[in-house]
Amino acid sequence: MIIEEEKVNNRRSYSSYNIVQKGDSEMPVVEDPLLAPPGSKVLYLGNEAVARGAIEAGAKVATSYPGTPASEILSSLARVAKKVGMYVEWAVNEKVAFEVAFAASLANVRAIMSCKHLGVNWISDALLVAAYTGVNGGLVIVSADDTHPYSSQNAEDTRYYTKLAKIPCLEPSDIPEAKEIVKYGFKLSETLQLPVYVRITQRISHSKSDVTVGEVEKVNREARFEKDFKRYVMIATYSKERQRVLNKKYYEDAVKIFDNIEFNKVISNESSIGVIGCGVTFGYVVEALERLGLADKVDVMKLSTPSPLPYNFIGKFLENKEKVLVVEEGEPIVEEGICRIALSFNRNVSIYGQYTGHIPREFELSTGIVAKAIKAFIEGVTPSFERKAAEEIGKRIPALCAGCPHRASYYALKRALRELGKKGIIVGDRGCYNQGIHPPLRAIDTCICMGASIAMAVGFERAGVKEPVIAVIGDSTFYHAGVQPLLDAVFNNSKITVLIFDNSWTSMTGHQPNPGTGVNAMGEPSLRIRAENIARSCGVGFVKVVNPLDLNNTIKTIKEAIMYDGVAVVVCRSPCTLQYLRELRKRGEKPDKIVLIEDRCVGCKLCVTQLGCPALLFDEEKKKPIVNRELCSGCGLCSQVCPREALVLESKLKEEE
Amino acid sequence: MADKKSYNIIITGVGGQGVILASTVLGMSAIDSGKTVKIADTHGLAQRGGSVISFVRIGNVHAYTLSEGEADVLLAFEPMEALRNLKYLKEDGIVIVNTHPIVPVAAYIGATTYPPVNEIISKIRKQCKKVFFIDATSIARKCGTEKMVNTVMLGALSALDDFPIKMETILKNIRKMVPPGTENMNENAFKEGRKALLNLLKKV
Repeated sequence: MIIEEEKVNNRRSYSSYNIVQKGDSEMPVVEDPLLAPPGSKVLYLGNEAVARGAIEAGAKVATSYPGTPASEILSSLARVAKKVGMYVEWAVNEKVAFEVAFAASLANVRAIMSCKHLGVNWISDALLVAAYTGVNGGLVIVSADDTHPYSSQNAEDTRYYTKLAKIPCLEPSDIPEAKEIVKYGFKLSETLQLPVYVRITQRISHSKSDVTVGEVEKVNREARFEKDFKRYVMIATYSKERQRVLNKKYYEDAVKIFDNIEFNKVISNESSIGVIGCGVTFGYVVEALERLGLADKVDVMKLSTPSPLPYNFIGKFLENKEKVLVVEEGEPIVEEGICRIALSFNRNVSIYGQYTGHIPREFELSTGIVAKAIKAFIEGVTPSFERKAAEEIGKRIPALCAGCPHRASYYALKRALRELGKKGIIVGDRGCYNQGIHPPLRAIDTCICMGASIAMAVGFERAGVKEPVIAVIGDSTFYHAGVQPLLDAVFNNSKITVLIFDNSWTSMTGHQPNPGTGVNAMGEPSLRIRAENIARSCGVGFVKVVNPLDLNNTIKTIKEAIMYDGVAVVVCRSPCTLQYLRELRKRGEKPDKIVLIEDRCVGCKLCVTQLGCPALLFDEEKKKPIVNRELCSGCGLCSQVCPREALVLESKLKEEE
Repeated sequence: MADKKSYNIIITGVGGQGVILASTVLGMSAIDSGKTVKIADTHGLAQRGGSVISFVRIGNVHAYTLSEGEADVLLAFEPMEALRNLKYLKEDGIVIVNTHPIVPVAAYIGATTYPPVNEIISKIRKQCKKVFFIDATSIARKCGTEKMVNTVMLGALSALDDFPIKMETILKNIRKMVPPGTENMNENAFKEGRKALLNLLKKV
């Protein structure tokens, strides 16, 4: 394998580059805010507040798989793991992450597992049964839901899972409370012997606020597992009884605790009108009421326990109320529950919210939106939430970075298909390479969820489409969810091409390490897994490794793969440019740069229109490209696309001289 | 902010210009000044080149984001981004704009258009009363590197009459947050930015 790789190492590649851990290069050395002394006031990112909550609760195990907006929970814990005596793991996927944390909890230590909302879909299989066995050491699951969505394939209200799994859900209203709620979650988990779910949204995750650092609880517990097959071996024989135990915990015990929990509050003005703010929306409710001059005229409930709902607490609030508005971001889960409780208590109250058109169902809320909602609610009319179209002029479309090797891989794939006279169906997957959809590449035809590319390619091919089917999947996504579908493709004699875009980092989410990186979350060196070895051991007949920045060889190899009669895998391997540049800076070296030789350039603009590289601009008057030297990282792709050799790497130019 | 409950700032620019670093510096400076602070960052997927907005709210507030008509100051590192976000400004809000444009790549492949800077500037002028234009990119370049646009702009911001944080506190946190070895360069860039705005204020 190594020999094969060396052959393609004539361009930027791994042999000339060492793996470094994120953050150890150009960032200044400042005292880590996660280690600030108790009592001090520091600026925390919401995700850091969650992390600090876990530290203060004495958690010993933390796991996750990267996903915006949740990633910084684990990456910030990774920064201080050794100092606080915590084991921190970037798992290969969320299900694995959950199972690692779950077992740690069975062994009586406190554990935290975090992910974005889509990760909860992955853990659900294990979670629903983990609720049956219950836990020992506190187990807290934190989901950061992207409710807009800003950087996800869907918006999803994962609080539904807590009703499905029957586990208690806590929802902080701001960053300082996120820390307190996470800390409390471990205790609650141990009281109920259930996993506890903390739901935050992107606004809490990615905002910053002053937070007062608390004391670290001394939890001196030996890890030990006491066998109890009736509890831990969930076969039908034993799960029948555990079902009864779980129902009591969720529908009775948790409700009683939530009826008296300090995180739920009522601001009473003895009004017959009430507004309920759930989680992050509480802040919007308070500010909207101030703005409308209604702060002392209506009753306000701050609700931090959406599941199960505190029955008596809400029943009491609804007493003597004429109407109540429920403000929540996501789905109308609390709103539905409150209707149920109002009926149980026979309260004569009207419940307003999403179902009445007072709260928009889509997108993130804001003070402005909530003020409009409350005003209409008070006046007895239905608000209108027309969204003004954003300023389209000069719109900044997301793009692959300058020098990104994925641009070269996509370009090679398109060229290969064109040379074969085929259109092809390009089945995409999740990661940075999603940006390949934007002009000018427009290179993918579908993009659904983690790992869908390979299985969907099999589906397209088996449906009988005449075009070649090509799955495009990144390295981290391949390890997360691509290996099993690859096995499936071989097992079922498929004829598809799989391109693994391997830049050796989980880049989209901020450069977390994965099995192909050579380092783990703890910063320890780990065996560097090679995607081609996995492909071979899955029985793939055609496996080749190319450096996509070597354009002609990549085109040739992809063509061979498409023509191959069976499953063909091409690993397109070149380091993430941002990591490559970081490494150069660390060594005090400068990257190569592209130079335009003006008299060779005929102004065909191919370099600009074919590649869309942020480092290549165009002077419409002179009809010549302009190289942005600040951004150019010298990947050399444009020099291989230019038909006149007008774009040349500085290093080559020196050789020529 | 003597009689004001809160001071709301929007910092906007293009990915890579250091918007988030600037708002973090303000956040740390607010805490050092004994104030409470809430910051909300919104940015697209791209590491570089996307629109970035950061809301910085100093004082006793409950929401992280600002709604239309709530910002006291709009600090824009790029003219088009200023125009895009004017809607957040209070009627008597102040705008400080770096006049140096960053044309999106999409404009070169015909996927979008980018109007001439003069047009953008006159549109901004038409919509707001208190507006200051400075060429922060040139100032930063003169001080050492274009990368210090954020520092220059923070310097300009610190020159506003009613700005609630002392310049020394901001400078201290800039020195803490910038790459080692560039502290003095950044301090100089900050002071040049401050000077540029003070000169404009004299003319008013």
